[in-house]
Amino acid sequence: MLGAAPAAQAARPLNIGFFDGLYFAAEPAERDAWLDRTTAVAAHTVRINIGWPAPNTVTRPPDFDARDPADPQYDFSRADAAIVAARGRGLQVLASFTGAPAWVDGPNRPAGVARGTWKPSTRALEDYGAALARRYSGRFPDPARPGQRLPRVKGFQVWNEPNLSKYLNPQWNGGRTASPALYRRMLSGFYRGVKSVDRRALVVTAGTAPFGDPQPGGNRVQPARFWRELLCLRTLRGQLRRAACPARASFDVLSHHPYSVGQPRRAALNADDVSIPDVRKLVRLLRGAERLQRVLPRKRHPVWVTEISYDSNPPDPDGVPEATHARYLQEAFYLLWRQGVDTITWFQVRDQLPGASFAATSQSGVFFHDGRPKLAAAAFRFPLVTERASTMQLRVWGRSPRAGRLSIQRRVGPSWRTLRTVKVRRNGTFFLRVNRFRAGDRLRARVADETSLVWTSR
Amino acid sequence: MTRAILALAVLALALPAAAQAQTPKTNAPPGNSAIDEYLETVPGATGNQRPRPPARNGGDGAAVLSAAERARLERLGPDGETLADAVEATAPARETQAKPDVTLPEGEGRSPTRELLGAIGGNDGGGGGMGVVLPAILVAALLAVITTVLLRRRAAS
Repeated sequence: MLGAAPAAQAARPLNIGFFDGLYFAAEPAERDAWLDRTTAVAAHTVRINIGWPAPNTVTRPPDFDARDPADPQYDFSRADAAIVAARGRGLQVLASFTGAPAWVDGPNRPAGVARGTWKPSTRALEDYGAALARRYSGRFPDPARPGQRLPRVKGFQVWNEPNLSKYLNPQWNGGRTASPALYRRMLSGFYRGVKSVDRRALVVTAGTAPFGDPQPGGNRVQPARFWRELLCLRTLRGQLRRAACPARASFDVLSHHPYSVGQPRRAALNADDVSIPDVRKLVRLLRGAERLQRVLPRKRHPVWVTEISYDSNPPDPDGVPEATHARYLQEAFYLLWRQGVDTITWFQVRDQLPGASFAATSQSGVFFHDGRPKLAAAAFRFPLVTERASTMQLRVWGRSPRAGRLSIQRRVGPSWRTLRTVKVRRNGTFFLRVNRFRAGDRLRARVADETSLVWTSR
Repeated sequence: MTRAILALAVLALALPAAAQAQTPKTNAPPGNSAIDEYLETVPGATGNQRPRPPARNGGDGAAVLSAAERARLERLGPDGETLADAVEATAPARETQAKPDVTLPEGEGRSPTRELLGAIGGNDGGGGGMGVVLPAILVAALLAVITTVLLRRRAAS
């Protein structure tokens, strides 16, 4: 049963990280402390919401050169500081924004629709994309540190959950969807702006929300339908076909937020909703769009999950128990990885304070608000999941925080017996099989002096 | 008296059905029930469909009772006709109508109870709706009507 396994693992990599507002909004000392905790749990990427720091006036400011990031009417100081702090710790940065200054809104915004969400100008997005790509190209001088340059940002994410009226309007136009076509234009405009400056910078789509309204005229569009229409596809007798398309969408990475109302393996009830195990629906649409040449550029597009999480109890009375929270995190990582996702940013490194209510806030951090780690912190750093492959065989998946020889061990009485050993890279994934498993077996992974949480097989 | 009982029965039926039509059933992520944008709509709940039209004849949707079923109820007299109206006004849409626990072959059974159960249950199967509760409520109302009628006839004779 001991594997002869000096060969390094070739399992597809998985980048993990966090999305948390504190990376941008917190005071520098607090922000830096949390970035340190972020790296301590072996995160690779942080999603930072940098906003759109241009004057929020109803009309476009005169003499405002929106493509020039050095224009004095921009205020990138907070964004610069957050990005410098993150990159200084070796973290990759996904800079995101949602909402726009009021002058970016299209005409005739209805009274009940929030400013910054109504038919955003494609031209304004193109200009902002160019400004961001230039400022965070790695060549732009840092005004706060004379003689130094601002670091390079790996990717830019345009908008958030565009299938919700909370972020983008209109969602519907009578009985037809409106937001897929609207967001397609926004996305392509932003892509043009970024690529006009830096062709290496990644343009990441907004992550779509997991659920929509099945009937027309609601506040949401179901995500699979949203992507199907954005990608100018239709289904005919179960097969994807081209649909009429004024212009193809342009982006580098597709993103989604597959929040679930149940355990990670619980699929969404509606055909066009997408929870954790349903991400394959979007992967199928994307590969179909690539095959039918309905998306640009003509290449294979990665799929990311830029938000996913569960609330824990404590502190949220309606959250999942702490041990279950850790288990769900690991299982969500594994299930998403199996479906082809290669980057996951967990929503929140730190719990929010409940404020008005626990139900309206998120306590999904891997750390409590006061900085104490939950079990999920260990699970995040060294995830391990097993899954029955057959009656007597288990699949074992994980991600190692260290390089070296990793052992998969099973609890036998008071001791641990090694089943397999493999060589792993730091932050590399491993995916292998072990034999002669029994339901209820308790397994762990060990590398150097570090062990994963114990996983009980089922 | 009879009409008062019937009115109460119809009201008792109408209120839960109306409430069901207003509020779609949703599931929420654990701990985030107040974040509306992350609620999953449960398919088959009334709010996930067009509201069923109340019209008895025509309208823009199929009636719950077939012509034969309605005719059997109307043969019971004015009370049966009123109950048929109540069934049409408050039953869930046909495609989600639950199969009740008691099912009867069409055309069999002469008692008002059997006729009403057969008309409501139908052969549609499927899930959703009020299940066996609706027929149970209607049966109870019908029994109340029948009891009242019998008592009045006894008093008259």
